[in-house]
Amino acid sequence: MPLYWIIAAPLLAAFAAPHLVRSAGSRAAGVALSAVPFAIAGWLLSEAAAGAAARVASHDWIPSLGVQLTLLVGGFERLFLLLVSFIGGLVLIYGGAYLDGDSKAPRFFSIVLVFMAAMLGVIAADDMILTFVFWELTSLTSFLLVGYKFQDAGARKAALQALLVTGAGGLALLAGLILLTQITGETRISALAAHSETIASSPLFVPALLLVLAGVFTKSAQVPFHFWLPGAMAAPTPVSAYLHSATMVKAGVILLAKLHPAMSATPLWGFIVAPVGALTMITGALVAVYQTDLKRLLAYSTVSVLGALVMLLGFGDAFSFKTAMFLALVHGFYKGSLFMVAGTVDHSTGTRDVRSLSGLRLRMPWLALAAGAAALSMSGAPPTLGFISKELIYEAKLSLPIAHHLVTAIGVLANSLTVAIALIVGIRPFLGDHGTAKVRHHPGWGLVLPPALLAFLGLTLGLFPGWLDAHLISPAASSLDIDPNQAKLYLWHGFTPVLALSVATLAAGFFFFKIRRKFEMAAHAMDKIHFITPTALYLTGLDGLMKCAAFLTGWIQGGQLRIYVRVTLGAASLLVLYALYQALGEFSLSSQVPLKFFETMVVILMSVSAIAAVLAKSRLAAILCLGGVGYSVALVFAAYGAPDLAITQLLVETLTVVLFSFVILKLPQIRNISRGHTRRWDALIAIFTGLIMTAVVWKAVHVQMAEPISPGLVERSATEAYGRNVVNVILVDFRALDTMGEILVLALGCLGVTALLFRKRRPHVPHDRRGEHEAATMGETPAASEPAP
Amino acid sequence: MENLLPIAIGILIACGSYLCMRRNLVRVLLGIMLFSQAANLLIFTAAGLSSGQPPIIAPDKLTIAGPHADPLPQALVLTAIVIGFAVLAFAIALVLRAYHKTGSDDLDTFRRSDS
Repeated sequence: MPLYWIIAAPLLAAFAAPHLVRSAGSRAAGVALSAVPFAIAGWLLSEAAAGAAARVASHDWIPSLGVQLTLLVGGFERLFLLLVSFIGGLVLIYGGAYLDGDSKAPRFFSIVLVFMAAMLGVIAADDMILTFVFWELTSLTSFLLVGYKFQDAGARKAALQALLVTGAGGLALLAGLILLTQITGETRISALAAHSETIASSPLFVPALLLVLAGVFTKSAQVPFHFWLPGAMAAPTPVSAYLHSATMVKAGVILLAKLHPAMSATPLWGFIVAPVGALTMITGALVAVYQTDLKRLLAYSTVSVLGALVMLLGFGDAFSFKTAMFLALVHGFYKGSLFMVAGTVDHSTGTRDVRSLSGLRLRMPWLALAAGAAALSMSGAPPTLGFISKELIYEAKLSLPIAHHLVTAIGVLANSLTVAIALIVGIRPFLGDHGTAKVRHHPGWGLVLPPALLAFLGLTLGLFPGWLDAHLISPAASSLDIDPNQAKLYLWHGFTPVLALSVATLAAGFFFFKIRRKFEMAAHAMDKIHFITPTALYLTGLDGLMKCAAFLTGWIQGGQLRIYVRVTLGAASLLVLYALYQALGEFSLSSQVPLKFFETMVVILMSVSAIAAVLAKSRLAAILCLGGVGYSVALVFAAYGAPDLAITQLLVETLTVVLFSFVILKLPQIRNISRGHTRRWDALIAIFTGLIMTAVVWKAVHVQMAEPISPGLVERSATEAYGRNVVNVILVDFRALDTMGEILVLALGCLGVTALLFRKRRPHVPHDRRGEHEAATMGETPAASEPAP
Repeated sequence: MENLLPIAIGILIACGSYLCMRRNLVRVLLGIMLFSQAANLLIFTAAGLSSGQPPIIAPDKLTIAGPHADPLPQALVLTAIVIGFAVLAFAIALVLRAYHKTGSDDLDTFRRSDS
């Protein structure tokens, strides 16, 4: 099986999905489509069972940038690919049943399958740019899925929030990966490990690390970026079960693990990663326990587990690393299961409020069993997978070289809160008598089987930890150069301090469950400081950005011509000033053409006329001044070897003055409208622009960027084009196409003038028709008698 | 002369910019005219001045002997002069039309007559 198929197959299925849903209904489509991820999972499992070596597929994508379509599937990738594809298959079945009859179901399947492809890509990609592309694709599909109920303003807002937070993190990640490439010259993540010394000693190491971590922390919802994850619960529950528990949020953890060998060589890694993870772990658990919405409870507890994963990777030792791999696997099983249970409860009763749910086991016994099994695993009761992972975590914490008491204490607290959450979500709604929420309809098997299967696996695999260890966890560790023999998975470790901690955790968890109402009171007290929460800061920031944009747009695009001119001239002049400053030393005052009396007088006349045109109060005086400028320019052309220019300029200038004189009498007298203050500012900008342009011309006179082409034109003028006036030959022969364009512009100008002046007038503007006709004729005449070059 | 002309161009540009920033319609028109003069002169000067003969080949020769003006910027400026005139004619017609339509010579009042 070529490696690319693991990404191509879900993508192809995404194209087929809408058609399938429309023709066969969403239940059947879900089952049919789940064959794709299950096939991938089956292949991965056979590879794992056979202990196959890592597979690599590589193909050039953008060779000039060294970007390749490189996929690498080793032990580590296999573990996570298996998790994503297996749970993905179950989610497709579950989603088909959940969204039965929903008109947007085709969209759901397409996007989930694209997401699946992207997620498999993030895991398998070895090229950095390819990783980034898939990474962003998961953010985009997450945006579409969170905003699935797009009629709902809250869902749209949550989708945007998820996109902005993870998208910003994605950009940081890209910058970080590029820095890593610059340090090492490698574009493959797996090749970075060999350069860990170079990376650690590089001055770019700290920025690279911080940027990469920014990407990882936003994606994996670490404090203070955790707030988007509970918001993302606006998505339909199958999406939450898949993206926001089992897979997408783990993308950060996966990348962190992949970069672990390359970047964990310095203490800085542990100093940043471990505390952030610990803080997230405890924050998530504390906030989760007082929630009343099933999905929010689960969302915050996911934040807590992600924190634990990041913390374990931050410890950096082999034992913790392997523990993290195991925890990621276990968490995928029980959290996916519990999310689906929550969705089924919501689907059947119409509510997710734990306060009104009770006695559900009476109507939904199978679901109750599934929920109970998943909750057991989540709370870490023996003999589940959760129990083994918790034992391992405590062992990892106790063996820390520093601060192990503090870390273990935080861990016990977070874990006992997790136990309480497991009881609230997985046990409490099913016990007791019928609650206020009624079961409106029985869930079909499609809503019960997937969570039950996941929960059952979590329960039974706990009995065979050795198999998991040998075929999945240890290969995962050793493929990232971690010694797999550091930690062995056992169900029974014997009577150790770790076991005592486990028992204490369960007891404390039960205690917290009993007093959970007290947490709600604490939560109300916390509301007083809501304005400093990350959510509030995000909203303030977004609001500020919008206001800033509105202000800036209003300021530089005020809708008035003079403001546009002012901004354009000012900005352009400042930019040119900067460029001139760079070339300050290269100015020269040397002159090849000597100053002569006649020409000097002409130039002075030109300048004085221009200034007089500005100051003129009378229309006719202004026009005469402009004529003075125009004729002076013609004289300059004549003096410096350009008779054609001089003739044309004289002609055009005469026409302009005549045309203007006719028209201007129809226009009002010149007057000052702006205030004196504004005029002074404008004068300042204008003088500044003038000075800058003077400097530019001054510089340009002495710059010769390339070999001039004029000598060649002169040489070929008589011999090839049979013309002796080189300027004319250029216009009608060498650059004839230009001249044709110029004639076109004239024709268009002529048309425009005609359209403007001969337009049928609306009756309510009484007006002199004859004069206008005359002006139009004037406008046309010169265009028609365009000076033949 | 290479030092004098840039100053003149700067003055033309400064005057043109100032006029373009006015609210008075007629002055904006004058500003556009000054700007196009300045631009033509700028191309002509920046390409390098020459006090030699014009780029015209004598009837009995096949090429120009001795120093002569550069024909290429001249061709460019020639095009620019003509196009500048077309633009100006259009601008004049537009201004005239706008004034008749709105009865105002103040550009700021034009914002409300966009539609």
